[in-house]
Amino acid sequence: MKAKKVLIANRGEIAIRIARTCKLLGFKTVAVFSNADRTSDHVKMCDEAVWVGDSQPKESYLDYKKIIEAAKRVNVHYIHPGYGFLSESAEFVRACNEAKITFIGPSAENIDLMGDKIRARETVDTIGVPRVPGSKGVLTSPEEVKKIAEDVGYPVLLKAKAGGGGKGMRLVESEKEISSSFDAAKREAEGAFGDSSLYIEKFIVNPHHVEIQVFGDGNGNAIHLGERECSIQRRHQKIWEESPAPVLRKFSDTKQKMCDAAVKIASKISYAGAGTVEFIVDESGSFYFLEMNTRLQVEHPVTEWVTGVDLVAWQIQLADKKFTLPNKVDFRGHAIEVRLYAEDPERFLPAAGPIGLIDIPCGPFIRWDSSYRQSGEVSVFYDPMIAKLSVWGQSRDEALSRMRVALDELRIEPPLNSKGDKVGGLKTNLTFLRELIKNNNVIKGETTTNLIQKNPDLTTQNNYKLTEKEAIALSLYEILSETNTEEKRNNSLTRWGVTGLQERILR
Amino acid sequence: MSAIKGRVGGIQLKWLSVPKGTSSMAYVELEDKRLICVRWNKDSHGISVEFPDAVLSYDIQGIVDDNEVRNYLLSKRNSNEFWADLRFLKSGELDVEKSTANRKKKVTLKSQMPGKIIKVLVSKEQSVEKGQPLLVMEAMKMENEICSPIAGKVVDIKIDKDKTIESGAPLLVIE
Repeated sequence: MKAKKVLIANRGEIAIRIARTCKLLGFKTVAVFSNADRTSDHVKMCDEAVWVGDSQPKESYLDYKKIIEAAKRVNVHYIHPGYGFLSESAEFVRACNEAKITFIGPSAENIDLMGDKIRARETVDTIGVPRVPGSKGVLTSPEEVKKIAEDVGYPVLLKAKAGGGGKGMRLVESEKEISSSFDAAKREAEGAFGDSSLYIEKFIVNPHHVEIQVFGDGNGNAIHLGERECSIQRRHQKIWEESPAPVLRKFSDTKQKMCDAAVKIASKISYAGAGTVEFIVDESGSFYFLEMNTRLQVEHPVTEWVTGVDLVAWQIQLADKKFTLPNKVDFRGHAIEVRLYAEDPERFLPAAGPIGLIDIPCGPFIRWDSSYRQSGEVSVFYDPMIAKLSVWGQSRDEALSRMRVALDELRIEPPLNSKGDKVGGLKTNLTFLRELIKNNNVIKGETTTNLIQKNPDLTTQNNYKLTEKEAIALSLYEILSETNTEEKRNNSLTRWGVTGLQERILR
Repeated sequence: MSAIKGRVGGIQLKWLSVPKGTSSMAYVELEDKRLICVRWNKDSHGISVEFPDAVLSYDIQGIVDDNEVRNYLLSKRNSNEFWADLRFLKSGELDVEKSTANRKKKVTLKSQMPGKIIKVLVSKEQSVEKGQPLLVMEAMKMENEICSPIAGKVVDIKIDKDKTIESGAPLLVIE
């Protein structure tokens, strides 16, 4: 029988990660790409590739009609959406169904229900899962924000109904910030998701972000695959994820209750495939439902490390009707993932640009998920994540040490011109991550979502003491660079001369 | 070949002969008259140096600032140690120190990414503090505050509200 085809409607590291599992299960892979991605690694990794449009996401990766058209043209059986882009678009799932292509993921109804965060809240309320107090429906005006904020108490958090990843999210600490935050969040939501609907929640002080990975068979059966703590965030985006959650060491029955609640939600809606139920845990071990993400998460490798489950393989096997949900999975050791971004390590502003060299850390229990190998370019059109680096250890301490060594081994350098000067605007958060792993709060596992604000030294770049070895190395480099350019100039002149002469002789 | 002498971050060095070539050796004398033989291999992103007791590798980036002065960023490979903003005061003299004082008379703030200007928060001739937000720019689907890298005065504003700009476009000039 001819191998079935999977079209991967995504780009970057996740497209590569999905392609790997497709290949090992014996499926053929089809990549899609935009103008900016013509020579990207995810395109080269797949058996076939289809161009779908301009570099702007909405002209290509977000345009579901173009993706479906591409899928029909090359006769695919399945579409895997990855995360982001169309992964939580019920419209896209319906279009797949219409085209008789199996969408690898939950049903359109599942996505509609949980993707609409307001209806999702109503659903979990019927099961009796606790959640953070906030608005009942979509907000229409800043005045409404004011009313609810006074009800539940400041600070409050404005969020995009269609949102995720911190986009369209604003913290409002007092009344006077309402109107500007409302406008900014609306604009961001409109730009990022094409939907400017907002809702509001009470902001929990010193919160921990803990999420439960679930997997459902679509027939009302579901299991959990443990939790991930993703408390360390910057600009409301996760930067460090680990399992088991350090905060739950103190609250073992909270953990059980959260897992039960997540499984209940997934069972109740007959969820199909991999999903994540996000919770906030406060200092007393109380937990609140935040939202359910109806897709594979960026940080899924953490769960794969501690369970030994290939989540993408489960997703594909379920779609291929060759999957039996086990009763439970076993857990082993501790895993940590960090996200490496093209951004400045002090203020976390995106700093995309060409990469001249990447030297990937190796060793036991180290995983590198990236679309960059040795060099490349971080495109300004997409998320500036360069890679996810994850490690496993028998204990949290072991995982921490392993991550520290791996981060020290990692090198990411911009290209240099002939004078040894940096080309392009690339900066990375590598020095920040190296500081983070040495931070006392992090080592002790006291990781609240405001860790970075509470530890300003993490974002202050301190030089190390210059020793005679560095002095020698730098002076050597400077002298060699100077003589080198001189020599090159002389050499190139000589070579030109010789070649010219030879040619004349030959004639 | 004559010796060259210089200072790097308070450490005095005297090369007995001028080092040459991407892979070679030379002798360097330290302040306390210790004589060290070093071998090296220069590569595309830095240099590896064989000292008597260790072989250490460094990534080195030259970063030329607005005043055409080259600042070095030195990172030790396989380590978390790095040294930023190192520069040679006089070429050949090898006088390196951390360049905090007497730098950057005029700074042109350039866009790191293509995007759209949402708000301009300062006006011409206005004095600004280091870290003060100057404008709000939308890029990569996020609103980003662009802050002043130095304390000074805004001498020129090169953009307008709602304008779409390319990467590398000048935004503001601060003196």
